[in-house]
Amino acid sequence: MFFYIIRRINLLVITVTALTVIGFFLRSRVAGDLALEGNLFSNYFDYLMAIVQGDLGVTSGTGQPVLDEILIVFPATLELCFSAFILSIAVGVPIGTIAGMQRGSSLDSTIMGISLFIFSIPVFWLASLVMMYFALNWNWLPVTGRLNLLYEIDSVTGFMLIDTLISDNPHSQDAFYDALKHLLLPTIVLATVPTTEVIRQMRNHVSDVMKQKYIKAAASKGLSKTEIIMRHVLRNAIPNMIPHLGLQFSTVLTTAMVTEAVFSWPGIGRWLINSIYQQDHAAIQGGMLTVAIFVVTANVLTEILTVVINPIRRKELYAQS
Amino acid sequence: MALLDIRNLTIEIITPQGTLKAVDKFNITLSDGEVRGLVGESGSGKSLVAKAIMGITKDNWRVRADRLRLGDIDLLNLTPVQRRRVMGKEIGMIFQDAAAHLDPSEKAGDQLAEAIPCDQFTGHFWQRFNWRKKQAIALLHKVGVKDHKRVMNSYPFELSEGLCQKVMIAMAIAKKPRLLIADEPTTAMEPKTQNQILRLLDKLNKLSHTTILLISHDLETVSLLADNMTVMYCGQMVESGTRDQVFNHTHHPYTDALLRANPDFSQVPHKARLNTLAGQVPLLHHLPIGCRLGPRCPNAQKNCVITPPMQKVKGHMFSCHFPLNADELKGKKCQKK
Repeated sequence: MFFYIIRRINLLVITVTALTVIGFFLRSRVAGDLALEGNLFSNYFDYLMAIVQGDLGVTSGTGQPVLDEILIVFPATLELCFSAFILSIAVGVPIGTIAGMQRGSSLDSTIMGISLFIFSIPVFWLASLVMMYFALNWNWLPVTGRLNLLYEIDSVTGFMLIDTLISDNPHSQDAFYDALKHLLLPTIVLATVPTTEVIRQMRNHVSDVMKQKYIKAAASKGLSKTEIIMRHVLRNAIPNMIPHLGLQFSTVLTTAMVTEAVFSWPGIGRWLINSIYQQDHAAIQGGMLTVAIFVVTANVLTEILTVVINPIRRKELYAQS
Repeated sequence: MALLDIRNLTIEIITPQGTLKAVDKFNITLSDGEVRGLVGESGSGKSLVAKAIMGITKDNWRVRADRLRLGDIDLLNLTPVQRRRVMGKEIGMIFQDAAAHLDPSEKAGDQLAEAIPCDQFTGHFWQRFNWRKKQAIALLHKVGVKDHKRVMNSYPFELSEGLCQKVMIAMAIAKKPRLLIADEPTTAMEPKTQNQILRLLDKLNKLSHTTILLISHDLETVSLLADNMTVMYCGQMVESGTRDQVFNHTHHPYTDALLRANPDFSQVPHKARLNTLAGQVPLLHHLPIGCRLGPRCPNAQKNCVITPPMQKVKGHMFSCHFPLNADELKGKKCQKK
């Protein structure tokens, strides 16, 4: 177990190093000043040292350090991604389980048909559509942004839902609900694609588990169908699904950038798009590095998590090593 | 009184190539407290019968029967929920291939505790948790597991096949069932454990008056325990009777071949051919018409293309046009079905 985690972390370090190499060449190509002095290796070493110390350079747009700006915008993106993930799991797991239990039935094909339909809707179009109906036509939810400008909330964690709760503003409760309202539409839009993926994975894994002999044995113990699902089916199906979810994370981050642009969400996607418009190379390079490191770390963490919670995977591990 | 009464059980498997009759008009009657052996080669449909009794069928099976009763309960007319309750209370099943029948993601002890029904519990509710654990340990000791702590804290893949089988047996007897179906309970075990398990089954039968349907391919094993036995070939019942009737007054050529397949090596000459039936069990796709043993039977004649009727002489049932030891049948009342 310990060696497995070490191996995974090792992989993480190597991948991140490779990413910094790419970042370094990006930077030395555009900002000629670095390439002039010293040789390539000492330059790269300096660059690496700077990154370790948190120095990603200075944006040409505002003159602020890149890291400071990223620390403001990245939590907004993460908040959006996490809420979308939670929503897609909360919706996808039950629906996928129902479809998997009755694989081949008309209910199953209906669910799979609808999820394929939703999967094929372009995100930017869906975003403008829900915005038009829910926000503009019916006035149920705010149109864009993260929080009503009336509230003044200090950024502590960068996560608006947490910040509004811990803030000592007298209206922090209202601010929390307001933040929740602002979060709702982008979350729904962002959650559509991962939800269909969760449904598909869940259906496949549940129907696989249902064919196993131990489910028959559990039925012969006299357990009811609900007991079998809760105690045997889900606990075998969900651990198998987690690595697939980890792979979804990069897709969600990409989709989040489009969603942010439509909803004017002050996240890293919108920030990066602006940097590209302004040809702000330090910001592009810093943002790319942050997102990439985050995705790689998330993947490694899900892999470790899978092994920690799933005894079957642990067995495979021992047999191999 | 008959505990389990099955008449004309037919199991068909629906495949893209057509419907296959895996079990054809199978009859069995188990009286309360008896040990019945169900013998046949692998693929003869023994396990299918067991699964049909338990009601754990697959979607592509069609199970039909004229009668399927457990005591005074008609299993055919129950809703799935009622049937599951009856099964959970009255019938325990020891599955073949025990390791695959244990949930790989849950510790063996927890799975065993799950099989212990709550209604056996008397006492205060706060004692319940401890009670379950104690019961589970007691059950493990009962099936001959000494190191209960290790077994309870292990995942099924960490246990040997024999230990899995013992956990499986403990789970099956946890609910104190009236009928215990043991599907090849000793196949994966070394002889010592095998004897242990057989003794355990015998004890269960003698002390708790549990009726046991012992399914095996090994006539020898079954004869150690069973009072009555039923022999199956290719989904058809070929002979059924008491141990003495089947062993010493064999009427069906297949039973005879099975008996002779266990040679007594003190009498077999050097380098002699062992007694086997020529050919092999036909595939389900290519079943012969009439008596399914027909093509392999040493006594087969023209009539054998017609399915022989079940004949009953003093409780000894067999289905053969040309029974062995036919002179024993002379003068006896023969009932044809």
